[in-house]
Amino acid sequence: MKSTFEQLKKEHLSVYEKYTMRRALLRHMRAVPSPYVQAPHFTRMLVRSRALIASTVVGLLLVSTTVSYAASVALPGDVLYPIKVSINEPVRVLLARTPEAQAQVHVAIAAERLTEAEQLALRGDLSERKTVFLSKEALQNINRALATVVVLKNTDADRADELRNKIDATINAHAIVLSAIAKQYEHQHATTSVQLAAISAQVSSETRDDEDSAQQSSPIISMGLSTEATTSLLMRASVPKQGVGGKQTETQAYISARRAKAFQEIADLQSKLDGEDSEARQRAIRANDAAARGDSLLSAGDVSGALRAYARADQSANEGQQLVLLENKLKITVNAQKTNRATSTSTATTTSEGSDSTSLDPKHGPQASIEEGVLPVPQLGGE
Amino acid sequence: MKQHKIQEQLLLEAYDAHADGIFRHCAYRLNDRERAKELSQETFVRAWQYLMNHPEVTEVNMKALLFHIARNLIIDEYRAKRRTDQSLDAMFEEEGFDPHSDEHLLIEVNAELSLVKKILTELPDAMHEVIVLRYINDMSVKDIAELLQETENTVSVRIHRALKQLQTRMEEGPA
Repeated sequence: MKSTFEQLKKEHLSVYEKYTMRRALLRHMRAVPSPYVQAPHFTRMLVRSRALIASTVVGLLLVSTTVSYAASVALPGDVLYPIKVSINEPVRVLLARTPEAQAQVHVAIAAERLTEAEQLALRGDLSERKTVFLSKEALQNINRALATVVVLKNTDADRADELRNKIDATINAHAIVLSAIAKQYEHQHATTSVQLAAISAQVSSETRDDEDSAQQSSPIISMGLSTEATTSLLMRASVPKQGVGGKQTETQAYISARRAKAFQEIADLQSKLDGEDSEARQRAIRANDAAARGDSLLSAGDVSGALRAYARADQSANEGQQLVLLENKLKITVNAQKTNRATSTSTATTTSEGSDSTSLDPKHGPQASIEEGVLPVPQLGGE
Repeated sequence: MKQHKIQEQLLLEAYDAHADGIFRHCAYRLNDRERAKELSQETFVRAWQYLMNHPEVTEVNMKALLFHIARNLIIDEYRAKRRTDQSLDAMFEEEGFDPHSDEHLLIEVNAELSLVKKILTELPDAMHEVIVLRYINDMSVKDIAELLQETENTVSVRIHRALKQLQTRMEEGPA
């Protein structure tokens, strides 16, 4: 039986039959449309080009994001630093919608410049050229932010004050750090120390000057320092003409001028004071305290701190003088009202008893002083 | 396009490996060589259509697939010709078959193959099928059970009975 089945297994297709069937099968397979059939050429090209464009865009985005991120931590002298300054930061400003937001970006950029100065100083790589560049950039951005503050004051004083405080906080924070680093390098690297002190002092004092001018001048004038003036000041501050010694002498002269101005203002205020517990006297006391603090800081070697203290003393003294003027004006007005009231009362007594209507006239009395334009003493802001 | 080529290559390889087996199976089931060639061709065409309708299939047991298709084609052929005395449903239910007792074959040495072929065609179709699958196509009991969707035990019993009948008829000789 087994051998019989083996014989039966020999039944097969002939070579020709098998070949013919194979060809027929192959022809059939080629004739049947494949579910994996490709799209027409044009569509395929379109799809390919879309895929190419999409992949190119994604690739560019990836590369630009990576470069942008890498540039964001670059320092002056690095390869990617120009991208940070010329592309990243302008884009940040452009993306800020409101002027206030733009001002905040400018403040952030100024803070970034000062941070870079700090980092370079810590690395011992803060050259004169970099000092000039960083100071110039920082001041330019601060001036732009201050210009927004001035414009904003006309529409929304609260937000303007808030922005101003932010600028002050940023500047003060970096001024303190710069001053600390300057102290650290005082004995190791005299030039760096002086440059850092100069940056700190210049930025602090010039922003304070801007604030003063913004309060007293028109918005256009109070836009802060011009670029040329800033560069000139910084060049004077950071590029020593006669070595380190010459630089120090020039800085000291600047500090002396600020100190003299503060004490002059205080002396002017004190000469005008006459009341015991007036608001102006309080300002005079504050100004004296600030000036004394400035002296102590100067003797301790904290140049930027001393300059800030003198600026505060100057400001307090100025406020005190304005208060004196206002108090004097108020006294004159009150006296005039008293005189008028006394005159009207005596006239009413001598003329007739039924003429009380005069004393009841709403145009006379305490309310009148307000209606006639005499305002209460304004509460000036603190330091 | 790449997938199409893969499927094409898959079927051509299966053709080269199993074309003879499929043909042999069809030939012994139908006892008609020309019709067996046509059904073999049709088996591979149907296999190609299956692959085209199931693009996710890249690796499939082609032998099982081909025999499954061939078997369905043979069943269709039987139904069309109504050449069996017993309904296919009855065959699948394994309700037993009455051998044709009035047929006797004479076994002669030079005519042995012809005799076996003849006896095979006279066996009930279910027995005929398992004998062809087991001893001519060399399929295991397990594979046959999967193909017929029966248990292995049922297939073994059916093969045993078919062999016994075949042997009895051969001993009895041609009618």
